[in-house]
Amino acid sequence: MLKRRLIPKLQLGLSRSFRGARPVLVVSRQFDNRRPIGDPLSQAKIYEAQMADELILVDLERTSESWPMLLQTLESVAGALATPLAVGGGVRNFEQVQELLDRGADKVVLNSAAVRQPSLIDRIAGAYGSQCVVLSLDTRSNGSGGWQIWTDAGRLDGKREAVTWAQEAVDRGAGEVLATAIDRDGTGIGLDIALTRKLTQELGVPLTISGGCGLAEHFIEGYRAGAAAVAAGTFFAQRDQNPIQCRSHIHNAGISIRNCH
Amino acid sequence: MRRPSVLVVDAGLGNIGSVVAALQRLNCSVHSSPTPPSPGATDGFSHAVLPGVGAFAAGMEALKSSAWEAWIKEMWWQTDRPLLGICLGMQLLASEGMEGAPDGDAVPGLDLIPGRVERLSVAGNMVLPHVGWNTLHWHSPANPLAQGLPEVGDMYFIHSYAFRPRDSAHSLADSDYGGSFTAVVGRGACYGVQFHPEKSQRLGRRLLENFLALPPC
Amino acid sequence: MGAPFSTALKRCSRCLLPETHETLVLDAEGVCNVCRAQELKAELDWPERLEQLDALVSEYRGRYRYDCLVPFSGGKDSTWTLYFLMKRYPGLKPLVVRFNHGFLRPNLRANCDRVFRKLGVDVHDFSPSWKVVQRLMLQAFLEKGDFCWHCHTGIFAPPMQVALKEQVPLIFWGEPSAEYTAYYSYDQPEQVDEERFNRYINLGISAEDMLIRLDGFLEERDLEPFRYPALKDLRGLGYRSVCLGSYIPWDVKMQVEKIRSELGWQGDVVENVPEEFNYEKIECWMQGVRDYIKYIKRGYTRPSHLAAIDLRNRRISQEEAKAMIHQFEGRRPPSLDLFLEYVGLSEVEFYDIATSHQVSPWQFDPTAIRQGEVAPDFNQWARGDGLDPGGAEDQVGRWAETCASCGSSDYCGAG
Repeated sequence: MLKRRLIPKLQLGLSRSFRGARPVLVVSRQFDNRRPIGDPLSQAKIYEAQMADELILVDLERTSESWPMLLQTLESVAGALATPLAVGGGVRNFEQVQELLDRGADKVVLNSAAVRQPSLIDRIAGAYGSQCVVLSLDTRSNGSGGWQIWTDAGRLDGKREAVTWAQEAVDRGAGEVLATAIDRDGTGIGLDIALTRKLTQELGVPLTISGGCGLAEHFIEGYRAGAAAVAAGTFFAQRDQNPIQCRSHIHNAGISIRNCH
Repeated sequence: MRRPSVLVVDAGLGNIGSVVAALQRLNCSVHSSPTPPSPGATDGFSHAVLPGVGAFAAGMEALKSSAWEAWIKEMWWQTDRPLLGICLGMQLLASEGMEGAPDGDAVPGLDLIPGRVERLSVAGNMVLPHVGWNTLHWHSPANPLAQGLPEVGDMYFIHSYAFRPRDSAHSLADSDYGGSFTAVVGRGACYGVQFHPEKSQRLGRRLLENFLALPPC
Repeated sequence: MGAPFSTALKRCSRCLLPETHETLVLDAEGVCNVCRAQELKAELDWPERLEQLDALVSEYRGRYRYDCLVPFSGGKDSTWTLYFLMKRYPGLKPLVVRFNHGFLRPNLRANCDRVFRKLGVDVHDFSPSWKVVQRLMLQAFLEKGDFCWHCHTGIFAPPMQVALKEQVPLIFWGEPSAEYTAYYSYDQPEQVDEERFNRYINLGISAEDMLIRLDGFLEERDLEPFRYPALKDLRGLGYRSVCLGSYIPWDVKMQVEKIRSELGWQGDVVENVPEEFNYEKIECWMQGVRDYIKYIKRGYTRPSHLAAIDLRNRRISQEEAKAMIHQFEGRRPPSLDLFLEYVGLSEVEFYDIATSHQVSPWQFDPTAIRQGEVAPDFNQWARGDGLDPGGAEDQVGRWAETCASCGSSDYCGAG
């Protein structure tokens, strides 16, 4: 039976010192307040040892300076790990997608670029298959029972309703959707369950929900609401928790997930 | 026991980097090539791996145009040494495949293991591709590829089509997505796995080790 | 909800360990995977494994400066490991490697002196700087609700560094983790390698990660002792890092009896643990605080752990187990005063931070705290040289900017 997935999020930032800039992993709170919590390769290896089902590696800086560092980090992580990788953050064009896939990404995560140029999704899905394309939505409630998407790391109003946009993206060939609730990010108050339910009802592709995990119970709520996968960053970085402990809880709740080997 | 020398076929069927990296972490020497080796050079390899992702028709086209089809069917097959097809690489071992075929006709495959590659048939609310970790059920625990793997273990799958062997003896393990489908095939020294051992962490690593432990090593 | 032996937690029907125990999974019969691992353990071909051990030792014996390396704490498990190897293989020359976490109790030190003298072994000792340890303790407590990061990593990384330096490839550890958790299974000999270090030993934080988290409070070379050596270097050495308990069935009661009678090893009074378990965790005077934090986070601690072992071995009844747990569990240890002094925290801050790491569905009840008893050597445990509150405040402040409230504690004031 196909298992639900538990996916640690690795958010890349840049740490500057007299030696120059180096990539570090950061945790955030509502897409702000970034704090460095580790070395990307070290953390990726740790998560693999802890049986992460997949890793999401996202560049939060999204600049021309950070792009080569994302590529370099991806190359070293892909070279050291035997775990599926979804990679993104500042992906703007088809050539960049190719660069990521060449360096070992299994899936490419698209957000702002897809909103600005939806045909990019069709092009990538056509060339590499829809299983390679993950549409990433960063959402905030729109105050009237729905959700609005935001682009550019939560800074710009995407001016589109989240569910209809996701549907369009799937129709164009996105094989998976990753939805992150911006206001819950790093708060530990729990996932956006209403959003989870709505997206899993409307879309015909697997949903990864993210933003707000603070207890193992939150993961269970996400799966019960229909999510194929739950992604978390702060939860594993700042709690006495790891993916193996967490999956035991999930297993005890009767949800089908990989057990410890 | 001799140290395995593995040839990874780079026929343009997708990025082979992860497979090469996974093999390099094991005790063997790894060589990849976009073109087939000469008969003399072929002799130097104890094992061959055929990774691949994408559609069947495009895959066969790539194998033909790069001369790998001939090398696999004639040269490597004669050596009777182990071959491992991964994902599309497994599917291409079949007699024919339905994916990407113009006009819906079956496209001939390598025909090393009789059978047909067809779209997974899934119920209403189940999505394709089949993506994620799913359980492998071995038909016989004595199978050399299964050594040291737990009875109930998960591997990472990402595919929409599956191999249906004509002879059930060639089906070595199943998984289940909308019904049972073949996850591991084998005939003689020729094996195929639908999942990605290079993305399946510990269990995938063990399976690759088991493959490398097959004779002549 | 917050009392010892809380009935709000799902438990194993056999050993009574709660669902908040790391990796615990209950099967269809309500029996946990740790209990099932004991069933598997009983069915293993131990005579065959012993033969494998003999073959392993002869493979390395006499070829290196030391026949093997034995990481050693002086507790019951490492003492047994050293004793067993030297008894079964007369003339074996091990290198004993010790890590001083900073809290070695007098009785433990005396045990070590006695054992080393009796057995006759070369001993390599390392003590990290107290200034470094304080910062690490505070940071680990904030990040993971577990101040023992320097000790977890200090037990497992430095011996690997010594193995490389001294060129000793064969390393013997004691009990396999499969004895108490399900990170590993008994069906495969447990490799004590970097993967295991990352899987659960280092709390998900490597030396390099800790340096980054500390953001300038420590330098790279301060973290050097806690760095796990590169795999390629260990492979170059031809290392074999294994658990003795993968080759002989681990039996704590028998083993303690042996080291007592043969080596004069002595137990000790341990905070909040019944007298009859005086062989347990005698090596560290911070053990009481460690156990207490576990209780705050997970709703069970050492008495439950010890009861579980006795229940699995059918030495006590469930009623007796519950009574023992009610009596000893969840009491505030006197050593907490020392911990607060060491890391420059107030007691209120301590509870705030500890409760932020609670594991669902457990919820600690701060109103029902009972006091634990003082250990006889309490006055000999080091005082002073604590982090000043200002120094602690800087470190706490940095973490508090992004720490998430778990949503289940009423008074987490760190945000």
